[in-house]
Amino acid sequence: MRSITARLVVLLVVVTAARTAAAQQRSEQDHWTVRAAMVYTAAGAPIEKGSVAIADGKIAAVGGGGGGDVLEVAAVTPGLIDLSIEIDTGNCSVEQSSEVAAALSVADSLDLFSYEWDRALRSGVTTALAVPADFDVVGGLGVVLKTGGPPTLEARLVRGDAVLRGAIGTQPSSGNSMPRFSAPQSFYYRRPTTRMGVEWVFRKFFWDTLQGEGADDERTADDQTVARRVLKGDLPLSIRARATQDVRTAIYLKEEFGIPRVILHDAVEAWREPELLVRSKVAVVLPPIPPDGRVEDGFVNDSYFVPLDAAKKLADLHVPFALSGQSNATVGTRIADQAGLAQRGGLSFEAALAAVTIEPARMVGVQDRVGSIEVGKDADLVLWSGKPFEPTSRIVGVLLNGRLMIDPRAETR
Amino acid sequence: MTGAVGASLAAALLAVASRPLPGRGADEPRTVQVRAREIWTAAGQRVSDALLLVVDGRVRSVKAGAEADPELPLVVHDGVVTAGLIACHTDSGAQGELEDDSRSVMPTALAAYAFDPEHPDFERALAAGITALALTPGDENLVGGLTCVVKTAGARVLEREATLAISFSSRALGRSGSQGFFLLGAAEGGAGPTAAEEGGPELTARTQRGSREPTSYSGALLMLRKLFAEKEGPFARAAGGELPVTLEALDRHEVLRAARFAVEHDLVGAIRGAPLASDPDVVAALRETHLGVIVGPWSADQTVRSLESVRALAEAGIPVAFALDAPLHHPEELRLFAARALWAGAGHDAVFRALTSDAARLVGTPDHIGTLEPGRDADFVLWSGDPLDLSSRIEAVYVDGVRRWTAPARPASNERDEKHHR
Repeated sequence: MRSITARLVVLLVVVTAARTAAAQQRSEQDHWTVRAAMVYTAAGAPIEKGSVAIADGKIAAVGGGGGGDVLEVAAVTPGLIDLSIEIDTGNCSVEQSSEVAAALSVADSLDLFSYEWDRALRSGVTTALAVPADFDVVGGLGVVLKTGGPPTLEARLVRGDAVLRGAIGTQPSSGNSMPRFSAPQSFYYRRPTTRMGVEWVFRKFFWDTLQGEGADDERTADDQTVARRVLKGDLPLSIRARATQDVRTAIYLKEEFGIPRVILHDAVEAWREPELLVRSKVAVVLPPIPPDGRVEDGFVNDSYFVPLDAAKKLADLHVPFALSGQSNATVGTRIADQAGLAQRGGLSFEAALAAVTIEPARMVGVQDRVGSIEVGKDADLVLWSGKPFEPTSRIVGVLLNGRLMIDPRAETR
Repeated sequence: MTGAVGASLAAALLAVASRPLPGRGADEPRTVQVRAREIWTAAGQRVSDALLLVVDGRVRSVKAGAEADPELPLVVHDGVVTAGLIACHTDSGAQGELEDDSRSVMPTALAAYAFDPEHPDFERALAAGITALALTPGDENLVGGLTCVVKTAGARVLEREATLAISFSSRALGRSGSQGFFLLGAAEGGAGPTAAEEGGPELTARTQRGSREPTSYSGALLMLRKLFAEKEGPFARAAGGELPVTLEALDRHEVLRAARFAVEHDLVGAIRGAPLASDPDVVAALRETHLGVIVGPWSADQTVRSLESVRALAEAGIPVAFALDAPLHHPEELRLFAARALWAGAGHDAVFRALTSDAARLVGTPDHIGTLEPGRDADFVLWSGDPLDLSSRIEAVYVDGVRRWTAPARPASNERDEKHHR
């Protein structure tokens, strides 16, 4: 009796070990065929009862064919792209010893071990833009990264100089003040303290660049090199502008200096300025908007109202825009929920899908690699239990560079 | 005539110079023989029934079953003799003197001038079997200065410029995530209102440090890259490995950043901190470098993941040593850290190396201390048993061949009990 029990235990151990090894191997493989009742490619009409073949981390075929294991799901979309992911090292991600730090890159300040990358991946985000925290007027270069894989830049970087990040409004000046008493040794006593001051620093930066002024010190010279790329249209300028007045200021700056590519970031109230948006040809990234339309800004104790049809308004104006989730974990403000809410406001499904995939990819110049299901692109896919973005649908699987990060077959219901 | 005067003057000077250093015990002869049940010359090298011969403060030989020279003093010890322990990263005798946050870059600041040699911290360390300590300056500075290695007996400086201390941790950044709550007085000597009361920013310890670059990891790297481009000085010596470095890094991403920088600039030395060094991605990154890791100090509630880092690093062939951080941690805790590393799966040899030879290497003094091989300084401890067994007692500690600490005589425990219960 005892020996039978012992043998059973041994058998169980062997079986378990074999299964673990098999599971390990599966997660390592990068050849798959994903079959779905609906394939939403974000590049043309959806394909009914289609399949996506994946080989060597790339999309090998769309529609039919393919090898490797088969994954059967209700729907598949490209991996989602979030341009306002807020996974950073906070204050340590931005150099505040001067109000302009254009040549510094957030790539040197990332925490790729943060659990929030995994959270983003689980909410369907496979590519994200990381930027320095907005405590400088011009904070530095933002980078585009994959949200999964080994925690090194080499493994995750998609684009190292995706945007130059700046901020208009109250945040860059918060914490600064006039010199007081006999303790003027902090640089927070010298920087702009008002919206007017912030705009002045911004304008001075581009003005000095055009005049070639102040470039005698090495850091300013490096900053101005970056500014010249922005002025040429080589590099998009991402400006955080929340309130209507900040949206206006950002657009006036774009027009004054003829900056070709400007993305208004976190532009909660951009919908209030339709004519300016159309005239200036800016792109817009909306922050996650709660279902009640009330956006609180805890940092500067301000709040904004956004109607449910804000995204639809932008679409009707043909303003390029992206929805975002800021790596939010709250139900309703995750990026997939945002695409659903925007549809409630009248946006078409196709436009909502584009606003979380190919549109943000184009804004930061990574559309050749990600953003749609097309042959040759990275195999980043989100697998759904039903129609994407519906409140009744779940994300059941995620593939990133052809690797199965979340396995739809392991899903418990 | 003048030549003869010159020669006699030189001889007199030589006589002064060769006189033993002042200090307790320094006049004793530095030649001694120790016969012991076991002598561990280095990790994994144990000699039974061994005779250790020390001549003029240095190890001459360790031989099994050798006859003692009747002309020389002999100590017979029924126990184990090992090299003295080495504690990395401590504030012993220099608490509050190793931080100077007026500047973030102080590459030529010398920890050797920060400590009080008569401070009881050194005696305490000696009593715990620690014969050498590394004092690391300013981990709240981007570049803190030069670490020194001190012998605990008499607090003699063994190496004045042992390593260059650089910080990759957020603690070195001007305005870090955790803001202090302490409102400092406004003007010096004045009792005027604080800046906060006037509507300005709070004058916290942190914001005061806000006068310094850098405030960000990217800014820190930019500054370090510029400093390492210098053609001479401490950075030039560190690039390429002539001067070892001690790089403070805590979070895993900080460790990876430091490791990457070390590869770029061909640095040797150690990462200090890295509580999650058991992470496979961290181990993989460290394997690409010439760096070891100084782990700890460990608190009572330290996670098992931290304790396992010694095992994980040793298995990957990465040298490890322990930070002590005295006087916040008592010197006796060094052996406690070692025992906990053993508990968490590290090998006996690896842990013993971490206390001795690996520590000597990581603090930049690989040639003088850390083992009992011929030619090394005769710094050794007489243990009642295995030093990694916490029940083993120290009976005596020798530094440079001189007995510098002896366990106080104490009544046998049953005798004490009897007295108590009478």
